[in-house]
Amino acid sequence: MTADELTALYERYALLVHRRCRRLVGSSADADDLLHEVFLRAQRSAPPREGSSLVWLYRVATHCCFDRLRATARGTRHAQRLDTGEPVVSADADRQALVGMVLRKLDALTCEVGLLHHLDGLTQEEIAAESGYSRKTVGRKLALFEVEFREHWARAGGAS
Amino acid sequence: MSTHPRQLDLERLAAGEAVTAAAHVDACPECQAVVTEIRAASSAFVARHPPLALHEAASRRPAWWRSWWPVALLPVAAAVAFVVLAPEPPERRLKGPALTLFVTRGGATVALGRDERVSEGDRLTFQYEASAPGHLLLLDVERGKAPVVLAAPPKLLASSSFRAPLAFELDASTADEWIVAIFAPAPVSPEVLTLPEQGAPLVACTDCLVEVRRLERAR
Repeated sequence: MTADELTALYERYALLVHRRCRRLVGSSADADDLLHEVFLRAQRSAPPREGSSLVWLYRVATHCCFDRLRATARGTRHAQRLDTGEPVVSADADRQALVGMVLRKLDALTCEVGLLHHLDGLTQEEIAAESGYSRKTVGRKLALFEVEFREHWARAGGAS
Repeated sequence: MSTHPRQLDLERLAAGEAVTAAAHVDACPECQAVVTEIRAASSAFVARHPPLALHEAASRRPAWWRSWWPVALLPVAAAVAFVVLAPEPPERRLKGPALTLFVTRGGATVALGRDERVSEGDRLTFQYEASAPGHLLLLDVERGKAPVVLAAPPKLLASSSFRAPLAFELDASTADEWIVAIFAPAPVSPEVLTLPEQGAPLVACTDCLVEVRRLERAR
C-alpha cells in the first residue's frame, strides 16, 4: 500500500476506527495511539480484494486492541468502562461491557469472530466471507465465545 | 418503513462503501441523519487528526512492536554465501523494534541502522523479542526468487528474547532483498507473504506482527 493509498484509507475510516478502539480499550488517549497502530498494521497487510474495507479495519483494530489489553493487563478495568462508548453505536451497554470483559480471556480469533457477530451484527456466513475463515471455524469460535460470554455474565452477576 | 439497517451498514455507507441498505437509507430520514452525522464527524476528526500524524508515526516504530527473537538459519538463500557462528550482539535492547539485525564487519559487531547499507562479505544475524507468546517466522525475500525460511522456532514465551545462533554472509547479489519477521498467535506459513512487482513484501495476516527490513546494498 502506497503512502497515498494509506492517506486515502485513513481519511475515510479514521473516525470509525478510532470509535471502535475507544469502545474496546475504554480510553480516548489509548484510542489515539491505537488508531495509528491499526493503520500501520493495515499498511503492512494486503487489503481485501473483496468485501468491506471497514470490516477489515475493524478486524485489524480488534487485534490491535486485543494485543494492547493483553500487554497492559488492564482489560478488566477498561472493559468496565466500555459503556461510555459513542451513542451512535449499539445502546446495549451491558452486553458491550461483557464482550469487553471476555476480550482478554480469549484468543484473538475468537475475539474477532465474537465481536463481528455481537458488536457488528454480522452473520456467521458474512464473517466467513469477510474474514476468509471457514464457516466451520467461525461457528466453532462463535460457540466458544458464547460459552465464555455466559460464564462471565454469570460471574458478573448478570441476569440470565 | 422497513427495518433499519445495521449500524455497521450505516457506517460503511458513510465511508463510501456500496451496501444493499443504500435504498433504505435514501428513503429513511432517521438513517440519513445517522449517515450525515458520521460523515460530518469524520471530516471534523480528520481535520483534528490529520494524516500527517499517521505518517510521522510510520517513521517511528509501532508501539506493539516491542520484542525480538533470535532464530536458527537455513543457508539456502541465493544471497547467502555461507553460514558462520554468530557473534554475541554488543547490546541487548529493551525497547524498540521487534526485529534487530546485527552486522559484523571488520571484526566488530553492531546493530544495523535503519538507513545503513550492507555489502558483500557482511555477516548478518538477527534478534527478536516477544512481548506476548507466539510463533515467529523469519523469511529472506529476494525479488525473483521464492521466499526462504530463515527460522521458524518453537512457540516463544512472553517477554523473552532470543538471538540467532548462526549468521550468514552476504554475497554479491544486487537484487532487491528484505528480511521479514512475522509473529503470530498461531504458526503461519510463508504463503501469507506476497511480493508485488514493485515495492516491499506484503503479508496477508491480520493478527500478525510484521516487520520488514530492506537490505540496502552499498553502491
